[in-house]
Amino acid sequence: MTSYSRRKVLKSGAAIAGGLCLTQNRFALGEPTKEPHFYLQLYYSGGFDSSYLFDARPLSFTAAGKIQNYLGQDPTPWLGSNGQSCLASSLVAPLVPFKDHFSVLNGILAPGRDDGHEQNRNVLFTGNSFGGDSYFPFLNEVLTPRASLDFFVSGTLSVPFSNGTSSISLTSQGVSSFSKLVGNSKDLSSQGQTADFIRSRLQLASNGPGRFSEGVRNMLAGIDESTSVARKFKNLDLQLGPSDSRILKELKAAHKLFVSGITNSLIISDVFNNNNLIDLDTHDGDSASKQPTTYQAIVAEVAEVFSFLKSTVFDEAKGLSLLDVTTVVISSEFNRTNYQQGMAMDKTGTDHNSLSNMMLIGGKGVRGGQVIGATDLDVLDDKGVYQNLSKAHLEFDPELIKRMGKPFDFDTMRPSTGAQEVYSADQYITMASVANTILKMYGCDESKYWSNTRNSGKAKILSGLLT
Amino acid sequence: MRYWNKFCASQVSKVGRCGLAFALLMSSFGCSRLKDSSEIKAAGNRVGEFKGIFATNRIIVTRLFKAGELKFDLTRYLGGDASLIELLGVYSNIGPLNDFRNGTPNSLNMLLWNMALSGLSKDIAESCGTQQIVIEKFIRIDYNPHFADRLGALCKEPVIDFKNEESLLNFWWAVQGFDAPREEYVAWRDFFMSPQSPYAKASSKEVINAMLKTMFLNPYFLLEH
Repeated sequence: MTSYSRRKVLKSGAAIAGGLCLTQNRFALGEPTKEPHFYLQLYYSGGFDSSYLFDARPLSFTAAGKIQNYLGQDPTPWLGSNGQSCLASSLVAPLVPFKDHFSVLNGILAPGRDDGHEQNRNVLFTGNSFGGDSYFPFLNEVLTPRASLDFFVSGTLSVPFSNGTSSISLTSQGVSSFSKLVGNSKDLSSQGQTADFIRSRLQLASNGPGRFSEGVRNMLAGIDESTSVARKFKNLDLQLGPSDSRILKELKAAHKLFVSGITNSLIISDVFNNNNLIDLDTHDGDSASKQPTTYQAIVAEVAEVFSFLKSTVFDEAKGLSLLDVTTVVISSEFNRTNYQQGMAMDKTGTDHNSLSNMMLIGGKGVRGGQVIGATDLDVLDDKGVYQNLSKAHLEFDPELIKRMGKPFDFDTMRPSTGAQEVYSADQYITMASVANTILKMYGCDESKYWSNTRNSGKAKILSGLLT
Repeated sequence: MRYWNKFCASQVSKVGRCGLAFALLMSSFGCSRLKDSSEIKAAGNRVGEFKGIFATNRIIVTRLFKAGELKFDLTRYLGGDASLIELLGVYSNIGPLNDFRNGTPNSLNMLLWNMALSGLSKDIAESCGTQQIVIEKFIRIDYNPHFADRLGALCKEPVIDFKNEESLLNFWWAVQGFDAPREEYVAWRDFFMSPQSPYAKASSKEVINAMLKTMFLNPYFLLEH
């Protein structure tokens, strides 16, 4: 007699649902895009203090003991093409020539509100403070042709991704070495019956349902792709000049890795010019006092990125620069507090602030020149008391030292009016919203979208950010 | 299979009961703490990932070379660029978490593993008749007596002797240990010992080179399981 266990029923249901989803996805996705689309992210670990970039506060706030300002200058309005604005420090001036090529995202809130570097780095890349799947493999999935590797990391980032075929911590120098090394190597496919035997054992071990078999399948896929990857690396022709800045070396490598089809997505992590150690984690006053120099260096690097991408020809016949085919994201894991409690304003450091984050996003698929989102702690009355604070803010930050993302109206693409009585992550710009916007930009299936919390629906898209 | 069975009967049964108890204990933890898959992966369960360059290097040193050997470095076969080491799987010590990086097999690291292990297999095969491997013409490393005996037995031509499974099995154990299940040994043995084997008329160096390469690139040797 046939028995129907719960497992069997669930398995059958999953198979049917999977089949339906597959059919639906084909219709939803249509043909994979044949246009080149690369993704370049600069990641600075430690936590941006956005008050030195695109979320500054007037000097009167410093005088009132509300926020440190080692620059000693009043910020000026940065007007967005969407009618929104923010206060920007004078340090961002080198980015003015590229203003139309990127948009500023302020007030990106981490729903879990964990304060650790690792947790927020995980949220940035996976939407989960424990880490998990990133969106990079999904971006690669919809592109034709697919790149050999789903993503590539240049620099020190300890990657929390659990999915995708990756290559990590290979800087431009490593890319150059590797291309020379593989030039003389034989791949497995050229080794006749021995290779066939190795493959037959791999195939047998790959048949199981568990993670070991998944690893073996990855080995097989790696071997299948290795001939093509070796050829791509062999023909890479990466020329690094002795006087090239470090960021320029990484950008040159990124360009070659993109156009050769080795990867479509690359993260440059903490690769600083001239080996300067840039410390964003400024807990003490001494390191915080160096922030003007720090952010000047960061802005210079970001400007170099846009300059390189804009001036590098991708397709001469179509008049396309590398920037025209690359989405660029500049990010850190969180914002910093206005000051450290109990410290004098001219000697204070700053602490972690996951209630807001700042990102720059530009290039292909992005409507540049905008300012999207905002943070609170931005209005003081005559007595130096903050105005218009939400109950959520008072609950999460009773000390009032963390600028918090303002609730956001995704329909009008503006901060909501009025303070929220009850906190709900879906009312704020979160990293899940940003990730989903990027996934939407690529035409990825909605099943890949992130949720703000485990039991909530998919986070809302920043539709106004898309071209 | 009598050699395999005899060996396993004496060795495996000792650890079997402990292993079973441990497995039951671990499964009870697994049942009591339900997590989603991304959390489990991030928590450091690395089944299906490479053991990594340092662990693999250590396994090779332990099984093949003299006790306390420090000169052997598998990455010598990769041209000496330190940055490439990380692509073969390493623990990073950035931040409070000790993450394992590049554990997932991909085209890049498969190329590197193939390159490194093919180079090692070739050098071992070339050392037939001696007690040491020579790497890059000047690095000489002594084998341990156990491995040297087993390699020496196979180096005596003809290698493929259909009546002499014992030397083949001993060689397998010396390199693979208990990493792979019996079926892997049987398939490997048949590949080299069958009359249709591409190595039926090959020299001992050619056969040993291929034997080592097929063992090293076996998933049970390279991956956590």
